[in-house]
Amino acid sequence: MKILNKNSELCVGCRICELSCAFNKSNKFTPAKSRVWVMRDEEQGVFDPMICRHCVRPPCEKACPVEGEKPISRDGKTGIVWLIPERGCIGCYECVRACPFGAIRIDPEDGNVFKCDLCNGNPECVRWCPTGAIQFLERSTIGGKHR
Amino acid sequence: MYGYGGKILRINLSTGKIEKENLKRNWIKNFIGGRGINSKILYEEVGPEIRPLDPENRLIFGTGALTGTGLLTSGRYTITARSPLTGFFGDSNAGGHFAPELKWAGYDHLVFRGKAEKPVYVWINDDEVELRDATHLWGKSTWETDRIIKQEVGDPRIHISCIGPAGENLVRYASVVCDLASVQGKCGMGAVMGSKNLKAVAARGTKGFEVADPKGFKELAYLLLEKTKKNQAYAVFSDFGTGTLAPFANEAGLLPVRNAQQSGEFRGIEEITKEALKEKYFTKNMACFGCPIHCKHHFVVKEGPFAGERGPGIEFGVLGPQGPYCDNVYAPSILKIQNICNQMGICGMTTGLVIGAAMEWYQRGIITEEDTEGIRLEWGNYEAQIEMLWKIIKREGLGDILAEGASLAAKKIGKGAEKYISHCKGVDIDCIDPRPLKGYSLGDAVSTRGADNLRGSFVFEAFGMTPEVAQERFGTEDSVKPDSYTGKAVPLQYYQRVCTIADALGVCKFATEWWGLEITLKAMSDLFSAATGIEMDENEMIKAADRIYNLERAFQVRDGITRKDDMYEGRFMEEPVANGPAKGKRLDKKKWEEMLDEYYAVAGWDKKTGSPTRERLQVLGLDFIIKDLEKRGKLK
Repeated sequence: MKILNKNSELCVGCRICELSCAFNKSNKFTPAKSRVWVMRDEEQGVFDPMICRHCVRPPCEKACPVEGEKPISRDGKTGIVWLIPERGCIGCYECVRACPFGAIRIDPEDGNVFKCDLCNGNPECVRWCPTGAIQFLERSTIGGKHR
Repeated sequence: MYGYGGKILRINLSTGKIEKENLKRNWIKNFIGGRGINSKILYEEVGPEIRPLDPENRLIFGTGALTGTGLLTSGRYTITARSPLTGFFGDSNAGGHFAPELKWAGYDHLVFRGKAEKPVYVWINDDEVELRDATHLWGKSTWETDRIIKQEVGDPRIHISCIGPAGENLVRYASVVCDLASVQGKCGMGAVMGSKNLKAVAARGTKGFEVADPKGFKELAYLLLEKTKKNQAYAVFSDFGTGTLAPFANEAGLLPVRNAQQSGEFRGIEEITKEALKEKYFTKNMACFGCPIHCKHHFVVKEGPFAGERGPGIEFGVLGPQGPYCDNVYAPSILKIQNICNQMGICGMTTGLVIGAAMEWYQRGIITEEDTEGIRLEWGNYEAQIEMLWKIIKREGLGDILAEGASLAAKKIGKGAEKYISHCKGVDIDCIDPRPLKGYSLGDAVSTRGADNLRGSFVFEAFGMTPEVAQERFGTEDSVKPDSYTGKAVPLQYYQRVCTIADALGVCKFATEWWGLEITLKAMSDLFSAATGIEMDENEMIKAADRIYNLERAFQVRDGITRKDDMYEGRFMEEPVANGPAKGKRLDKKKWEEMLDEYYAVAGWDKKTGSPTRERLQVLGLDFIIKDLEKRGKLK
């Protein structure tokens, strides 16, 4: 089960990840459609890619008030946390508020929410990141260098 | 409209009127965008009778067709206006993250005219554009302004292009700053902005834009990204940016020391090498929008009088002038000075060159401690350097004179001061001694904004290109002989075209073939066609580049610039290199004229006057310029 990992020390704040994601998903160049975003502080020299963790126990799924099959839920087999608004999403933004990483995004055009779906196993942001700050790794290897 | 935002935003600061004009397709076909369309607007709307600080001067922001795509250095924008420093055509280009917001909001260009009654800033939020009171921001640094406006708008992720106190005080080389350290420094665009009481432009764009051939565009951009990462020059620039050039220039005798009284052999070179700066100060690589080269570096000064100083830095353009040029060996002071310049909104390069000139005047007794009000402008005295920098920013005492630029200051001071400076058309030289490089000097002389290597100097004149390749590409091995006055015109024109197109597209010139990186003229044509759906091959791109360049030259000609202005004034034209590895190299006046003849022939400029010929303008379809110059008696 591979998910995204990030190493902020390698992030240079270029935002190529944002634009490549947005372009891939919406055919438009605008970070407003990007699933990933970079927190940037030039004065302090801090850059941090805000990726979806595809959490094992996702707060977004827990927060969603829709009864029965939720529009946001984790697939037990693949580990991917899917957000499919057509499955009864009411646009209450409880998931947005619940995510500690800001990974659920709101489309300014129509108010719908959207999030990372790992691009069918070939994440676009990983493909384009020039420094390897965002990686696509087996869960069991995350944080490996610290262990 | 593919690839563009589609609109020109026109704001009259005198009346408060805000208008949105459609970007015309035939403007794009002829002038591409960015610097190209900026120059066209300036030509048409700012004649010689409108002076730089007049309200009627236009301040034009221009993004390019590729700006905002996030793919390969596409974050740049050009600001164009009649320059307060020179009185002539002026522009400056910067990166950072501001320009894409304009583009995503739907605006390819902003055109300001008039002057606001009280300080204002512009807040652009997609379709909503408003003028807001900036009285509370007037006097604040660009860093504070950035912080405060983000708070006011309630969004830390907007981007802001603004001036600091230097622009407010109309220092003639005041800058415009975005994202703390991405700066339009040359030509004093910050002073034009200050003269309009315009403190800042803040923008957020979410609308975005589409391209004509998404698949093709993406494939090409990805290929260029992969190639760039494997490129040799990438390895150098990504590691340390243009600061890498300092030790190299020093060894070759091209690094001006003490106002170019010395060239190379800088006593403090070990303090400003990549190794020294990385080890002691740099913490992290930083990138402008969409750039894999990330040539900026975050630094922190840990000890000494400037402990705690931090921020993005530093490029050769500031390192040279504030370091060796003033014989300053104390690196933390250079970093501090860079921060002051970025915060106060003043060109870090020009300031170093001006203070260096003042230091030589002080050395020679042309100015005294009385003139400097006690500031001892001695070589290497970085405290004095900083004190004088503040005087310039505030226009106090001698600072008020130095704020006029080296050329005007020298005239005011008299007593032979003019002998010790060098400029072309009022713009100080960049940060290398050009005398050993004849082709480089030519580039400065025929640049359309005064002395400037960014108009497309022939970088490989002295290194990196074999005689065989030069022969094949430019017709003669002379091109790569620095001492040769012949064979320089063709390569110069080639790289002028590369740089002009990069500026028109909004990509960083340092990612192009100008420095041997991967974005070639062909790649730029292909990217442009894929983005816009307007098919332009390399030859048509070249023609557009020539059209833009000749329009800018015509602007200069209309102002009265002639052949006799296509040279350096002062030291670089009159004296040989005094010492160092390039000792004795000089610019021979007779051979200079021959070199100029060769360039004029290649460029299609009149041998006597230096003006683009009627035929040249006709071939480029610049009929409106022919009529205008004729009317003014400037065209035979």
